Amino acid sequence: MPSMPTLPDTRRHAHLALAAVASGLSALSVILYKFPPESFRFYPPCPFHALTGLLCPGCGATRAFAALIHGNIGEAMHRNGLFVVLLPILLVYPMIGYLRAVRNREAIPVPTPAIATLLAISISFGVLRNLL
Amino acid sequence: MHYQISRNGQQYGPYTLEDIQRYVTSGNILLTDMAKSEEMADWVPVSQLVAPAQTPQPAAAFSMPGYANPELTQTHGQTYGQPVTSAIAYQDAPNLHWGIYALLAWITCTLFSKVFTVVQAAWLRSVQPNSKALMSYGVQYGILILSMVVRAATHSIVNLTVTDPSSFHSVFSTYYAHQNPVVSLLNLLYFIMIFVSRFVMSASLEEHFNTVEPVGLRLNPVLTFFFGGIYFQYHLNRINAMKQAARYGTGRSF
Repeated sequence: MPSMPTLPDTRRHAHLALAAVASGLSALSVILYKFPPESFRFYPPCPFHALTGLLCPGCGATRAFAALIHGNIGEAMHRNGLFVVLLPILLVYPMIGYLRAVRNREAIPVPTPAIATLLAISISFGVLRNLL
Repeated sequence: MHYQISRNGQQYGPYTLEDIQRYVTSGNILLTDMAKSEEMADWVPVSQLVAPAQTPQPAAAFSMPGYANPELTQTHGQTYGQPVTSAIAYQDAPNLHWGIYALLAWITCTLFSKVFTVVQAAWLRSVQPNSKALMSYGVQYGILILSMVVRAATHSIVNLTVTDPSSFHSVFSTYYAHQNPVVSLLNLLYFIMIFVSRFVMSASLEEHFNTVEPVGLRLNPVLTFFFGGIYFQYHLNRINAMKQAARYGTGRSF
């Protein structure tokens, strides 16, 4: 059986991924703080909204994130409630994956029913926000 | 063309070449088994059918028990969807569940999808160096960035107070009311490139998974057109699971 230099490699990838995500998020936060999306239009528009005029489940997420950075949770919920609710999961789950990877353990796969539920919720959210 | 398979004097089949490739991948047919079609005069080893001389070994790598190393695959895992590099001739595709991909794509207004299609195409290029998919996505997103730069350059970025920031529609209609014709043209090109890239990627995936890693992949053009990367990811998840099962030597069929 060949000897496998896998462990340092897995850890290195995990560290790299964390560094990339952390620096990306910090840069994004600074940009959103300095240039609020309400006043600056260089932020890319949602292609779905541009094409159809309807709101997709993600529309308003940039403004919601900007509102969160400014500490305005109510405003963030108003912009995109789904994004605000999902944000903790989106931050915590990869973090757990990272912590497991540096301990050389497998990532916990998200159960399929959970994925299906999240998809159903986001589709319903996308439909309802256009109707209500 | 249909083939009979012979092992230890017992004959099985007939199978199509695609069936044989699938069974070789799952371990049900061994490369050392003998195969013969009605047109062929003699029995030949299966290895000559599914792993021609110019593409050595990949099929063997899936089914040879020597490669199956549960401990290794366990420690490697699927952390961050990283490919398993050392145990097998070809890296596994990124293994993010297609449902999570779809969810992330939706709640980021497809921004996540733009990143992940490049990850998929970069992986494909590493296992299938003649793939043009990465280049195609490069051109596609190059056009998008150019369109954004032109738009930013032709508007004054600082003085862009939206009339009614509380209304989504106002924000976006202000956006598009003053569209520069160059930006419109670039957007149209980008829109066309979305579908060009999808079909380039689809062709490369089919080429890879029917020659060097023969699992008999067939991609539906309609689903490719509408779902692109998410649809590819569904098949990549499936193929990864198949390869993982082959590494454990379970011969599970999919």
